[in-house]
Amino acid sequence: MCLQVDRLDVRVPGKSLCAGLTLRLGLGENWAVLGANGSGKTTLLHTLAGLRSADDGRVLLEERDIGDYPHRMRARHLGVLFQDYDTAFPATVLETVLTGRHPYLSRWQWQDDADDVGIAETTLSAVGLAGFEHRRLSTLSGGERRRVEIAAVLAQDPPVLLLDEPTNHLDLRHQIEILRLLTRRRQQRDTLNVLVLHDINLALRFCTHALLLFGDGECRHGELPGILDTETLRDLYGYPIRKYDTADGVFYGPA
Amino acid sequence: MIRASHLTMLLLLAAPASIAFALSMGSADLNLGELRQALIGDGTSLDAAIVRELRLPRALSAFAVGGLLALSGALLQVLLRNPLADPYILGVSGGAAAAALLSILLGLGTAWVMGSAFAGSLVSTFLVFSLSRLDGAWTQTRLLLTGVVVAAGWGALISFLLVISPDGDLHTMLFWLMGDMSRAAHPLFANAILLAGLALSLGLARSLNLLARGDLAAAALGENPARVRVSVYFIASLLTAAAVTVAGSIGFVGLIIPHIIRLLTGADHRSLLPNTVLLGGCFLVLADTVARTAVVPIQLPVGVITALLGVPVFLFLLTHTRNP
Repeated sequence: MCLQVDRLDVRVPGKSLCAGLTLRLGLGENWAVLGANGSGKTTLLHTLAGLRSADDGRVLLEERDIGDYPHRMRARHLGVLFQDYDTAFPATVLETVLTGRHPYLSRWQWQDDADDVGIAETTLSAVGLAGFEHRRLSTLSGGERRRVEIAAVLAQDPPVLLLDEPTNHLDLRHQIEILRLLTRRRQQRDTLNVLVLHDINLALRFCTHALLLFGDGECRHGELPGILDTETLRDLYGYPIRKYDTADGVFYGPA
Repeated sequence: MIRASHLTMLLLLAAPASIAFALSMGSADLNLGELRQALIGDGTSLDAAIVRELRLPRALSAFAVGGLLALSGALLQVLLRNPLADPYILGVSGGAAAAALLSILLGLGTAWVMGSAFAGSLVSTFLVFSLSRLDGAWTQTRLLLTGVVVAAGWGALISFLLVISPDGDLHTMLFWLMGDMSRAAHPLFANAILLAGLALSLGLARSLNLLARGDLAAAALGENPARVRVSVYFIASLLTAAAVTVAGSIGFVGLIIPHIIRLLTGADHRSLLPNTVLLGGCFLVLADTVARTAVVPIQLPVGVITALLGVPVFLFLLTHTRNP
Protein backbone atom coordinates (compact mmCIF):
# COMPACT_ATOMS: atom_id res chain seq x y z
CA MET A 1 0.00 0.00 0.00
CA CYS A 2 1.38 3.37 -0.92
CA LEU A 3 0.15 6.73 -2.04
CA GLN A 4 1.54 7.97 -5.34
CA VAL A 5 1.23 11.46 -6.72
CA ASP A 6 1.75 11.74 -10.44
CA ARG A 7 2.29 15.19 -12.04
CA LEU A 8 -0.36 16.64 -9.77
CA ASP A 9 -1.63 20.20 -10.24
CA VAL A 10 -3.70 21.76 -7.49
CA ARG A 11 -5.20 25.15 -8.24
CA VAL A 12 -7.66 27.47 -6.57
CA PRO A 13 -9.16 30.41 -8.47
CA GLY A 14 -6.35 32.79 -9.42
CA LYS A 15 -3.60 30.75 -7.85
CA SER A 16 -1.58 27.61 -8.42
CA LEU A 17 -0.83 25.80 -5.15
CA CYS A 18 1.27 23.01 -6.54
CA ALA A 19 2.28 22.26 -10.11
CA GLY A 20 3.59 19.01 -11.55
CA LEU A 21 4.11 17.36 -8.18
CA THR A 22 5.37 13.80 -8.47
CA LEU A 23 5.90 11.93 -5.26
CA ARG A 24 5.74 8.50 -3.70
CA LEU A 25 4.66 8.18 -0.07
CA GLY A 26 5.31 4.70 1.27
CA LEU A 27 4.17 2.72 4.26
CA GLY A 28 6.34 3.16 7.31
CA GLU A 29 6.90 6.84 6.53
CA ASN A 30 5.78 9.93 8.41
CA TRP A 31 5.35 12.95 6.16
CA ALA A 32 5.16 16.50 7.44
CA VAL A 33 3.42 19.04 5.20
CA LEU A 34 4.79 22.50 5.96
CA GLY A 35 3.89 25.88 4.55
CA ALA A 36 2.58 29.34 5.40
CA ASN A 37 -1.11 30.13 5.90
CA GLY A 38 -2.98 29.83 2.62
CA SER A 39 -0.19 27.91 0.89
CA GLY A 40 -2.58 25.05 0.09
CA LYS A 41 -1.75 22.43 2.70
CA THR A 42 -5.39 21.59 3.43
CA THR A 43 -6.43 21.70 -0.23
CA LEU A 44 -3.57 19.36 -1.11
CA LEU A 45 -4.53 17.02 1.72
CA HIS A 46 -8.15 16.89 0.51
CA THR A 47 -6.89 16.15 -3.01
CA LEU A 48 -4.71 13.31 -1.70
CA ALA A 49 -7.74 11.97 0.17
CA GLY A 50 -9.85 11.92 -3.01
CA LEU A 51 -12.33 14.41 -1.51
CA ARG A 52 -11.48 16.96 -4.18
CA SER A 53 -10.57 16.10 -7.74
CA ALA A 54 -7.08 16.91 -9.06
CA ASP A 55 -6.89 19.87 -11.44
CA ASP A 56 -4.37 17.88 -13.45
CA GLY A 57 -2.40 14.70 -12.91
CA ARG A 58 -3.39 11.82 -10.68
CA VAL A 59 -3.35 10.51 -7.14
CA LEU A 60 -2.97 6.74 -6.91
CA LEU A 61 -3.69 4.63 -3.88
CA GLU A 62 -2.05 1.26 -4.42
CA GLU A 63 -1.73 1.76 -8.20
CA ARG A 64 -5.40 2.69 -8.54
CA ASP A 65 -6.80 6.18 -9.09
CA ILE A 66 -8.17 7.45 -5.77
CA GLY A 67 -11.31 8.71 -7.53
CA ASP A 68 -12.13 5.18 -8.74
CA TYR A 69 -12.55 3.76 -5.26
CA PRO A 70 -16.06 3.27 -3.92
CA HIS A 71 -16.27 5.67 -0.96
CA ARG A 72 -16.70 2.95 1.61
CA MET A 73 -13.70 0.95 0.38
CA ARG A 74 -11.58 4.09 0.24
CA ALA A 75 -12.48 4.81 3.85
CA ARG A 76 -11.07 1.44 4.88
CA HIS A 77 -7.72 2.29 3.28
CA LEU A 78 -7.43 5.97 4.03
CA GLY A 79 -8.63 8.15 6.90
CA VAL A 80 -8.69 11.92 7.25
CA LEU A 81 -8.56 14.11 10.33
CA PHE A 82 -10.03 17.49 9.41
CA GLN A 83 -9.09 20.85 10.81
CA ASP A 84 -12.54 21.28 12.27
CA TYR A 85 -15.90 19.59 12.42
CA ASP A 86 -19.50 20.67 12.43
CA THR A 87 -21.03 20.63 15.88
CA ALA A 88 -24.53 21.89 15.11
CA PHE A 89 -26.15 18.91 16.84
CA PRO A 90 -25.28 17.40 20.20
CA ALA A 91 -23.36 14.11 20.20
CA THR A 92 -21.62 12.12 22.88
CA VAL A 93 -17.94 11.22 22.84
CA LEU A 94 -18.65 7.52 22.24
CA GLU A 95 -21.09 8.25 19.39
CA THR A 96 -18.47 10.42 17.74
CA VAL A 97 -15.68 7.86 18.03
CA LEU A 98 -18.00 5.12 16.75
CA THR A 99 -18.51 7.06 13.51
CA GLY A 100 -14.99 5.86 12.71
CA ARG A 101 -16.36 2.32 12.42
CA HIS A 102 -18.90 3.33 9.76
CA PRO A 103 -16.89 2.00 6.77
CA TYR A 104 -16.98 -1.51 8.24
CA LEU A 105 -20.74 -1.71 8.89
CA SER A 106 -23.53 -2.59 6.49
CA ARG A 107 -26.42 -0.19 6.02
CA TRP A 108 -28.84 -2.23 8.10
CA GLN A 109 -26.45 -3.11 10.86
CA TRP A 110 -28.38 -1.52 13.63
CA GLN A 111 -26.80 -1.90 17.03
CA ASP A 112 -23.22 -0.97 17.72
CA ASP A 113 -21.19 -4.13 17.76
CA ALA A 114 -19.52 -4.98 21.09
CA ASP A 115 -16.25 -5.24 19.13
CA ASP A 116 -16.69 -1.73 17.73
CA VAL A 117 -17.47 -0.31 21.15
CA GLY A 118 -14.35 -2.09 22.42
CA ILE A 119 -12.24 -0.52 19.68
CA ALA A 120 -13.71 2.90 20.43
CA GLU A 121 -12.95 2.54 24.14
CA THR A 122 -9.40 1.42 23.42
CA THR A 123 -8.69 4.40 21.17
CA LEU A 124 -10.28 6.74 23.71
CA SER A 125 -7.96 5.54 26.44
CA ALA A 126 -5.04 5.74 23.98
CA VAL A 127 -5.68 9.48 23.63
CA GLY A 128 -6.11 9.83 27.40
CA LEU A 129 -9.90 10.12 27.46
CA ALA A 130 -10.95 6.90 29.18
CA GLY A 131 -14.15 7.49 31.12
CA PHE A 132 -15.33 10.31 28.82
CA GLU A 133 -17.57 8.00 26.74
CA HIS A 134 -20.91 9.47 27.73
CA ARG A 135 -19.93 13.12 27.95
CA ARG A 136 -21.40 15.44 25.36
CA LEU A 137 -18.90 17.04 22.99
CA SER A 138 -20.18 20.49 23.89
CA THR A 139 -19.00 20.01 27.48
CA LEU A 140 -15.39 19.26 26.48
CA SER A 141 -12.50 21.68 26.12
CA GLY A 142 -11.06 22.38 22.67
CA GLY A 143 -8.10 20.10 23.26
CA GLU A 144 -10.27 17.28 24.58
CA ARG A 145 -12.57 17.57 21.58
CA ARG A 146 -9.53 17.41 19.29
CA ARG A 147 -8.43 14.19 20.96
CA VAL A 148 -11.94 12.73 20.51
CA GLU A 149 -11.62 13.43 16.77
CA ILE A 150 -8.20 11.77 16.73
CA ALA A 151 -9.66 8.76 18.57
CA ALA A 152 -12.38 8.55 15.88
CA VAL A 153 -9.87 8.42 13.04
CA LEU A 154 -7.79 5.86 14.98
CA ALA A 155 -10.93 3.74 15.41
CA GLN A 156 -11.30 3.89 11.63
CA ASP A 157 -7.83 2.31 11.64
CA PRO A 158 -6.79 2.67 7.99
CA PRO A 159 -3.20 2.06 6.82
CA VAL A 160 -3.00 5.60 5.45
CA LEU A 161 -3.82 8.56 7.71
CA LEU A 162 -3.98 12.16 6.50
CA LEU A 163 -4.06 14.51 9.47
CA ASP A 164 -4.72 18.23 9.15
CA GLU A 165 -3.06 19.95 12.08
CA PRO A 166 -3.49 17.09 14.56
CA THR A 167 -1.83 19.14 17.29
CA ASN A 168 -4.33 22.00 17.05
CA HIS A 169 -5.65 23.04 20.49
CA LEU A 170 -3.41 20.48 22.23
CA ASP A 171 -1.23 21.44 25.15
CA LEU A 172 2.48 20.70 25.07
CA ARG A 173 2.25 17.32 26.73
CA HIS A 174 -0.61 16.11 24.56
CA GLN A 175 1.09 17.33 21.38
CA ILE A 176 3.99 15.02 22.15
CA GLU A 177 1.80 12.15 23.33
CA ILE A 178 -0.47 12.24 20.29
CA LEU A 179 2.43 12.43 17.84
CA ARG A 180 4.18 9.64 19.73
CA LEU A 181 0.99 7.56 19.50
CA LEU A 182 0.80 8.08 15.74
CA THR A 183 4.50 7.34 15.26
CA ARG A 184 4.33 4.22 17.36
CA ARG A 185 1.37 3.03 15.29
CA ARG A 186 3.48 3.59 12.18
CA GLN A 187 6.33 1.52 13.54
CA GLN A 188 4.18 -1.33 14.82
CA ARG A 189 1.74 -1.56 11.97
CA ASP A 190 3.67 -0.19 9.02
CA THR A 191 1.29 2.66 8.27
CA LEU A 192 1.70 5.95 6.46
CA ASN A 193 0.99 9.26 8.19
CA VAL A 194 0.78 12.60 6.42
CA LEU A 195 0.64 15.42 8.94
CA VAL A 196 0.02 19.08 8.29
CA LEU A 197 2.07 20.82 10.98
CA HIS A 198 2.97 24.36 11.92
CA ASP A 199 5.75 23.41 14.31
CA ILE A 200 9.06 22.80 12.53
CA ASN A 201 10.60 21.21 15.62
CA LEU A 202 7.77 18.69 16.02
CA ALA A 203 8.17 17.82 12.33
CA LEU A 204 11.90 17.28 12.87
CA ARG A 205 11.31 15.15 15.92
CA PHE A 206 8.56 12.89 14.62
CA CYS A 207 8.64 12.85 10.83
CA THR A 208 10.83 11.03 8.34
CA HIS A 209 10.02 13.20 5.31
CA ALA A 210 8.70 16.66 4.59
CA LEU A 211 6.72 18.27 1.77
CA LEU A 212 7.14 22.04 1.61
CA LEU A 213 4.51 24.21 -0.08
CA PHE A 214 5.72 27.68 -1.01
CA GLY A 215 2.30 28.95 -2.04
CA ASP A 216 3.25 29.88 -5.62
CA GLY A 217 3.07 26.41 -7.14
CA GLU A 218 6.57 25.46 -6.04
CA CYS A 219 6.79 22.33 -3.89
CA ARG A 220 9.87 20.64 -2.51
CA HIS A 221 10.07 17.31 -0.79
CA GLY A 222 12.69 15.09 0.72
CA GLU A 223 13.96 13.38 3.81
CA LEU A 224 14.23 15.08 7.15
CA PRO A 225 16.28 16.73 8.47
CA GLY A 226 18.30 17.18 5.26
CA ILE A 227 15.66 19.16 3.37
CA LEU A 228 15.41 21.90 6.00
CA ASP A 229 17.81 24.81 6.43
CA THR A 230 17.38 28.41 7.48
CA GLU A 231 17.17 29.81 3.92
CA THR A 232 14.54 27.28 2.83
CA LEU A 233 12.49 27.97 5.95
CA ARG A 234 12.80 31.74 5.48
CA ASP A 235 11.46 31.40 1.93
CA LEU A 236 8.75 29.02 3.13
CA TYR A 237 7.36 31.27 5.85
CA GLY A 238 8.47 34.68 4.55
CA TYR A 239 10.13 35.39 7.87
CA PRO A 240 13.76 35.07 9.05
CA ILE A 241 14.45 31.82 10.90
CA ARG A 242 17.27 31.10 13.28
CA LYS A 243 18.86 27.70 13.83
CA TYR A 244 19.87 26.54 17.31
CA ASP A 245 22.44 23.76 17.47
CA THR A 246 22.25 22.20 20.92
CA ALA A 247 23.51 19.08 22.62
CA ASP A 248 19.93 17.72 22.30
CA GLY A 249 19.76 18.33 18.57
CA VAL A 250 18.85 21.05 16.11
CA PHE A 251 15.98 23.47 16.74
CA TYR A 252 14.55 26.24 14.58
CA GLY A 253 12.83 29.35 15.83
CA PRO A 254 11.69 32.73 14.50
CA ALA A 255 14.48 35.30 14.54
CA MET B 1 -30.49 12.64 29.56
CA ILE B 2 -32.45 9.43 29.62
CA ARG B 3 -31.69 6.29 27.67
CA ALA B 4 -33.13 6.31 24.18
CA SER B 5 -34.43 2.73 24.44
CA HIS B 6 -36.31 3.56 27.65
CA LEU B 7 -37.91 6.53 25.96
CA THR B 8 -38.91 4.34 23.01
CA MET B 9 -40.64 1.89 25.37
CA LEU B 10 -42.39 4.71 27.19
CA LEU B 11 -43.60 6.19 23.91
CA LEU B 12 -44.76 2.79 22.65
CA LEU B 13 -47.04 2.70 25.70
CA ALA B 14 -48.05 6.33 25.33
CA ALA B 15 -49.17 5.90 21.71
CA PRO B 16 -52.13 3.55 22.36
CA ALA B 17 -52.90 5.47 25.56
CA SER B 18 -53.17 8.76 23.67
CA ILE B 19 -55.41 7.17 21.07
CA ALA B 20 -57.64 5.66 23.78
CA PHE B 21 -57.86 9.10 25.33
CA ALA B 22 -58.86 10.60 21.98
CA LEU B 23 -61.50 7.93 21.47
CA SER B 24 -63.11 8.45 24.86
CA MET B 25 -63.27 12.24 24.79
CA GLY B 26 -65.90 14.29 23.00
CA SER B 27 -69.54 15.22 23.02
CA ALA B 28 -70.22 11.78 24.53
CA ASP B 29 -67.53 11.05 27.11
CA LEU B 30 -66.91 7.33 27.49
CA ASN B 31 -65.23 5.52 30.34
CA LEU B 32 -62.88 2.61 29.63
CA GLY B 33 -65.60 -0.03 29.83
CA GLU B 34 -67.88 1.86 27.45
CA LEU B 35 -64.96 2.46 25.11
CA ARG B 36 -64.12 -1.21 25.06
CA GLN B 37 -67.76 -2.05 24.41
CA ALA B 38 -67.92 0.48 21.57
CA LEU B 39 -64.77 -0.85 19.95
CA ILE B 40 -65.26 -4.60 20.18
CA GLY B 41 -68.99 -4.90 20.87
CA ASP B 42 -71.58 -5.76 18.23
CA GLY B 43 -71.32 -2.22 16.90
CA THR B 44 -74.99 -1.30 16.91
CA SER B 45 -74.90 1.36 19.60
CA LEU B 46 -74.56 5.08 18.95
CA ASP B 47 -71.27 5.06 20.88
CA ALA B 48 -69.88 2.42 18.56
CA ALA B 49 -70.77 4.50 15.52
CA ILE B 50 -69.17 7.62 16.97
CA VAL B 51 -66.01 5.84 18.01
CA ARG B 52 -65.53 3.65 14.95
CA GLU B 53 -66.62 6.02 12.21
CA LEU B 54 -65.60 9.40 13.56
CA ARG B 55 -63.10 9.33 16.38
CA LEU B 56 -60.93 6.34 15.41
CA PRO B 57 -60.13 7.42 11.83
CA ARG B 58 -59.50 10.94 13.05
CA ALA B 59 -57.21 9.83 15.88
CA LEU B 60 -55.24 7.50 13.63
CA SER B 61 -54.90 10.27 11.04
CA ALA B 62 -53.74 12.69 13.70
CA PHE B 63 -51.12 10.20 14.86
CA ALA B 64 -49.86 9.74 11.31
CA VAL B 65 -49.77 13.47 10.58
CA GLY B 66 -47.90 14.20 13.82
CA GLY B 67 -45.39 11.46 12.99
CA LEU B 68 -44.98 12.69 9.41
CA LEU B 69 -44.36 16.28 10.44
CA ALA B 70 -41.96 15.42 13.25
CA LEU B 71 -39.95 13.02 11.08
CA SER B 72 -39.83 15.48 8.21
CA GLY B 73 -38.63 18.21 10.58
CA ALA B 74 -35.89 15.99 12.02
CA LEU B 75 -34.67 15.13 8.52
CA LEU B 76 -34.73 18.71 7.25
CA GLN B 77 -32.91 20.01 10.31
CA VAL B 78 -29.96 17.75 9.62
CA LEU B 79 -30.18 18.20 5.83
CA LEU B 80 -30.03 21.99 6.15
CA ARG B 81 -27.84 21.79 9.25
CA ASN B 82 -30.19 24.35 10.71
CA PRO B 83 -32.03 23.84 14.00
CA LEU B 84 -34.74 26.28 12.86
CA ALA B 85 -35.75 24.18 9.88
CA ASP B 86 -39.32 22.88 9.91
CA PRO B 87 -41.26 20.79 7.37
CA TYR B 88 -42.57 23.92 5.65
CA ILE B 89 -39.32 25.83 5.28
CA LEU B 90 -38.63 24.72 1.71
CA GLY B 91 -42.04 25.65 0.33
CA VAL B 92 -43.64 22.21 0.17
CA SER B 93 -46.64 23.35 2.18
CA GLY B 94 -46.84 26.64 0.28
CA GLY B 95 -47.30 24.80 -3.00
CA ALA B 96 -49.89 22.57 -1.38
CA ALA B 97 -51.76 25.50 0.18
CA ALA B 98 -51.85 27.54 -3.01
CA ALA B 99 -53.24 24.58 -4.96
CA ALA B 100 -55.73 23.68 -2.23
CA LEU B 101 -57.02 27.25 -1.89
CA LEU B 102 -57.41 27.51 -5.63
CA SER B 103 -59.54 24.34 -5.62
CA ILE B 104 -61.64 25.67 -2.75
CA LEU B 105 -62.10 28.91 -4.68
CA LEU B 106 -63.21 26.95 -7.73
CA GLY B 107 -65.73 25.15 -5.54
CA LEU B 108 -64.27 21.67 -5.98
CA GLY B 109 -64.99 18.87 -3.52
CA THR B 110 -62.82 17.60 -0.66
CA ALA B 111 -61.18 14.85 -2.70
CA TRP B 112 -60.18 17.42 -5.33
CA VAL B 113 -58.83 19.78 -2.71
CA MET B 114 -56.70 17.03 -1.22
CA GLY B 115 -55.54 15.82 -4.61
CA SER B 116 -54.48 19.29 -5.70
CA ALA B 117 -52.75 19.89 -2.38
CA PHE B 118 -50.66 16.77 -2.92
CA ALA B 119 -49.93 17.74 -6.53
CA GLY B 120 -49.05 21.28 -5.48
CA SER B 121 -46.57 20.08 -2.89
CA LEU B 122 -44.87 17.80 -5.41
CA VAL B 123 -44.64 20.65 -7.94
CA SER B 124 -42.99 22.81 -5.31
CA THR B 125 -40.61 20.00 -4.32
CA PHE B 126 -39.35 19.53 -7.87
CA LEU B 127 -39.26 23.28 -8.53
CA VAL B 128 -36.99 23.90 -5.53
CA PHE B 129 -34.87 20.86 -6.32
CA SER B 130 -34.17 21.87 -9.92
CA LEU B 131 -33.68 25.58 -9.15
CA SER B 132 -31.20 24.88 -6.37
CA ARG B 133 -29.20 22.55 -8.60
CA LEU B 134 -28.84 24.93 -11.51
CA ASP B 135 -25.16 25.67 -10.88
CA GLY B 136 -24.28 22.06 -10.13
CA ALA B 137 -23.17 22.77 -6.59
CA TRP B 138 -26.01 21.59 -4.39
CA THR B 139 -25.10 23.23 -1.13
CA GLN B 140 -27.36 23.49 1.85
CA THR B 141 -27.24 27.28 1.85
CA ARG B 142 -28.36 27.39 -1.76
CA LEU B 143 -31.10 24.87 -1.09
CA LEU B 144 -32.27 26.79 1.97
CA LEU B 145 -32.34 30.14 0.15
CA THR B 146 -34.12 28.69 -2.89
CA GLY B 147 -36.69 26.98 -0.69
CA VAL B 148 -37.32 30.04 1.44
CA VAL B 149 -37.72 32.28 -1.62
CA VAL B 150 -40.07 29.84 -3.35
CA ALA B 151 -42.05 29.57 -0.10
CA ALA B 152 -42.32 33.37 -0.01
CA GLY B 153 -43.64 33.27 -3.58
CA TRP B 154 -46.33 30.78 -2.59
CA GLY B 155 -47.12 32.99 0.41
CA ALA B 156 -47.83 35.91 -1.88
CA LEU B 157 -50.02 33.76 -4.10
CA ILE B 158 -51.92 32.52 -1.03
CA SER B 159 -52.56 36.08 0.16
CA PHE B 160 -53.78 36.97 -3.30
CA LEU B 161 -56.19 34.02 -3.33
CA LEU B 162 -57.47 34.95 0.13
CA VAL B 163 -58.13 38.54 -0.94
CA ILE B 164 -60.09 37.67 -4.08
CA SER B 165 -62.08 34.85 -2.44
CA PRO B 166 -65.72 35.35 -1.44
CA ASP B 167 -66.41 35.54 2.30
CA GLY B 168 -68.15 32.17 2.26
CA ASP B 169 -64.93 30.35 1.36
CA LEU B 170 -62.67 32.23 3.75
CA HIS B 171 -63.49 30.20 6.84
CA THR B 172 -62.66 26.92 5.08
CA MET B 173 -59.47 28.45 3.69
CA LEU B 174 -58.28 29.77 7.04
CA PHE B 175 -58.89 26.42 8.69
CA TRP B 176 -56.92 24.80 5.91
CA LEU B 177 -54.04 27.22 6.40
CA MET B 178 -53.98 26.82 10.18
CA GLY B 179 -54.09 23.05 10.01
CA ASP B 180 -57.20 21.06 10.80
CA MET B 181 -57.93 17.37 11.23
CA SER B 182 -61.68 17.46 10.63
CA ARG B 183 -61.42 16.30 7.00
CA ALA B 184 -59.15 13.38 7.84
CA ALA B 185 -61.48 10.44 7.36
CA HIS B 186 -59.09 7.94 5.76
CA PRO B 187 -56.06 7.26 7.92
CA LEU B 188 -54.59 4.59 5.63
CA PHE B 189 -52.83 6.92 3.17
CA ALA B 190 -50.96 8.99 5.77
CA ASN B 191 -50.01 5.96 7.86
CA ALA B 192 -48.69 4.08 4.83
CA ILE B 193 -46.51 7.04 3.80
CA LEU B 194 -45.34 7.40 7.40
CA LEU B 195 -44.27 3.75 7.62
CA ALA B 196 -42.51 3.86 4.26
CA GLY B 197 -40.78 7.13 5.11
CA LEU B 198 -39.67 5.87 8.51
CA ALA B 199 -38.28 2.64 7.03
CA LEU B 200 -36.35 4.53 4.35
CA SER B 201 -34.95 7.10 6.74
CA LEU B 202 -33.95 4.44 9.27
CA GLY B 203 -31.79 2.96 6.51
CA LEU B 204 -30.08 6.36 6.33
CA ALA B 205 -29.85 6.90 10.08
CA ARG B 206 -26.16 6.17 10.48
CA SER B 207 -25.36 8.20 7.37
CA LEU B 208 -27.26 11.11 8.90
CA ASN B 209 -25.11 10.84 12.02
CA LEU B 210 -22.08 11.30 9.77
CA LEU B 211 -23.68 14.09 7.76
CA ALA B 212 -24.27 15.99 11.01
CA ARG B 213 -20.47 16.23 11.39
CA GLY B 214 -20.09 17.83 7.95
CA ASP B 215 -20.13 16.75 4.31
CA LEU B 216 -16.38 16.22 4.02
CA ALA B 217 -16.23 14.24 7.25
CA ALA B 218 -19.06 12.02 5.96
CA ALA B 219 -17.28 11.52 2.63
CA ALA B 220 -14.03 10.60 4.38
CA LEU B 221 -15.92 7.94 6.35
CA GLY B 222 -17.22 6.26 3.23
CA GLU B 223 -20.53 8.04 2.62
CA ASN B 224 -21.64 9.72 -0.55
CA PRO B 225 -23.02 12.94 0.95
CA ALA B 226 -24.65 14.16 -2.26
CA ARG B 227 -26.63 10.96 -2.61
CA VAL B 228 -27.72 10.98 1.03
CA ARG B 229 -28.81 14.60 0.75
CA VAL B 230 -30.93 14.01 -2.35
CA SER B 231 -32.59 10.99 -0.72
CA VAL B 232 -33.27 12.91 2.47
CA TYR B 233 -34.67 15.86 0.55
CA PHE B 234 -37.18 13.75 -1.34
CA ILE B 235 -38.17 11.62 1.66
CA ALA B 236 -38.75 14.72 3.81
CA SER B 237 -40.71 16.44 1.03
CA LEU B 238 -42.95 13.42 0.53
CA LEU B 239 -43.61 13.20 4.28
CA THR B 240 -44.55 16.86 4.40
CA ALA B 241 -46.69 16.55 1.29
CA ALA B 242 -48.67 13.69 2.82
CA ALA B 243 -49.17 15.55 6.09
CA VAL B 244 -50.26 18.77 4.39
CA THR B 245 -52.62 16.90 2.11
CA VAL B 246 -54.42 15.31 5.04
CA ALA B 247 -54.45 18.17 7.50
CA GLY B 248 -53.23 21.44 6.00
CA SER B 249 -50.28 23.28 7.54
CA ILE B 250 -50.13 22.35 11.21
CA GLY B 251 -47.31 24.39 12.65
CA PHE B 252 -44.86 23.72 15.44
CA VAL B 253 -44.90 19.90 15.58
CA GLY B 254 -42.13 19.44 13.02
CA LEU B 255 -39.96 22.15 14.55
CA ILE B 256 -40.21 21.26 18.22
CA ILE B 257 -40.64 17.49 18.54
CA PRO B 258 -37.17 16.62 17.14
CA HIS B 259 -35.60 19.14 19.52
CA ILE B 260 -37.45 17.66 22.50
CA ILE B 261 -36.10 14.20 21.64
CA ARG B 262 -32.58 15.61 21.18
CA LEU B 263 -32.78 17.31 24.56
CA LEU B 264 -33.97 14.09 26.19
CA THR B 265 -31.75 11.46 24.56
CA GLY B 266 -29.20 13.06 22.24
CA ALA B 267 -28.84 13.25 18.48
CA ASP B 268 -28.15 9.66 17.38
CA HIS B 269 -30.56 9.35 14.45
CA ARG B 270 -31.03 5.62 14.94
CA SER B 271 -33.10 6.34 18.04
CA LEU B 272 -33.96 9.97 17.29
CA LEU B 273 -36.04 9.20 14.19
CA PRO B 274 -38.37 6.52 15.63
CA ASN B 275 -38.76 8.38 18.92
CA THR B 276 -39.56 11.55 17.01
CA VAL B 277 -42.29 9.77 15.05
CA LEU B 278 -43.85 8.33 18.23
CA LEU B 279 -43.77 11.57 20.19
CA GLY B 280 -45.01 13.59 17.21
CA GLY B 281 -47.91 11.17 16.78
CA CYS B 282 -48.91 11.18 20.47
CA PHE B 283 -48.60 14.93 20.66
CA LEU B 284 -50.86 15.60 17.71
CA VAL B 285 -53.47 13.08 18.88
CA LEU B 286 -53.65 14.90 22.23
CA ALA B 287 -53.63 18.34 20.62
CA ASP B 288 -56.42 17.36 18.24
CA THR B 289 -58.48 15.95 21.09
CA VAL B 290 -58.14 19.23 22.93
CA ALA B 291 -58.93 21.13 19.73
CA ARG B 292 -62.28 19.40 19.26
CA THR B 293 -63.33 19.31 22.92
CA ALA B 294 -62.00 22.47 24.58
CA VAL B 295 -64.55 25.01 23.39
CA VAL B 296 -67.70 22.99 22.73
CA PRO B 297 -69.40 23.23 20.32
CA ILE B 298 -66.71 25.08 18.37
CA GLN B 299 -63.95 22.93 16.84
CA LEU B 300 -60.67 24.83 16.95
CA PRO B 301 -58.04 24.32 14.26
CA VAL B 302 -55.47 21.97 15.80
CA GLY B 303 -52.61 24.26 14.69
CA VAL B 304 -53.69 26.72 17.38
CA ILE B 305 -53.47 24.05 20.06
CA THR B 306 -50.09 22.62 18.98
CA ALA B 307 -48.46 25.96 19.61
CA LEU B 308 -50.39 26.68 22.82
CA LEU B 309 -49.40 23.29 24.26
CA GLY B 310 -45.99 23.02 22.68
CA VAL B 311 -44.48 26.38 23.59
CA PRO B 312 -44.59 25.95 27.39
CA VAL B 313 -43.56 22.29 27.23
CA PHE B 314 -40.58 23.07 25.06
CA LEU B 315 -39.49 26.07 27.09
CA PHE B 316 -39.71 24.00 30.27
CA LEU B 317 -37.49 21.29 28.80
CA LEU B 318 -35.04 23.81 27.41
CA THR B 319 -34.54 25.42 30.80
CA HIS B 320 -34.64 22.24 32.89
CA THR B 321 -32.42 19.92 30.86
CA ARG B 322 -28.82 19.89 31.98
CA ASN B 323 -26.00 18.54 29.90
CA PRO B 324 -24.33 15.74 31.85
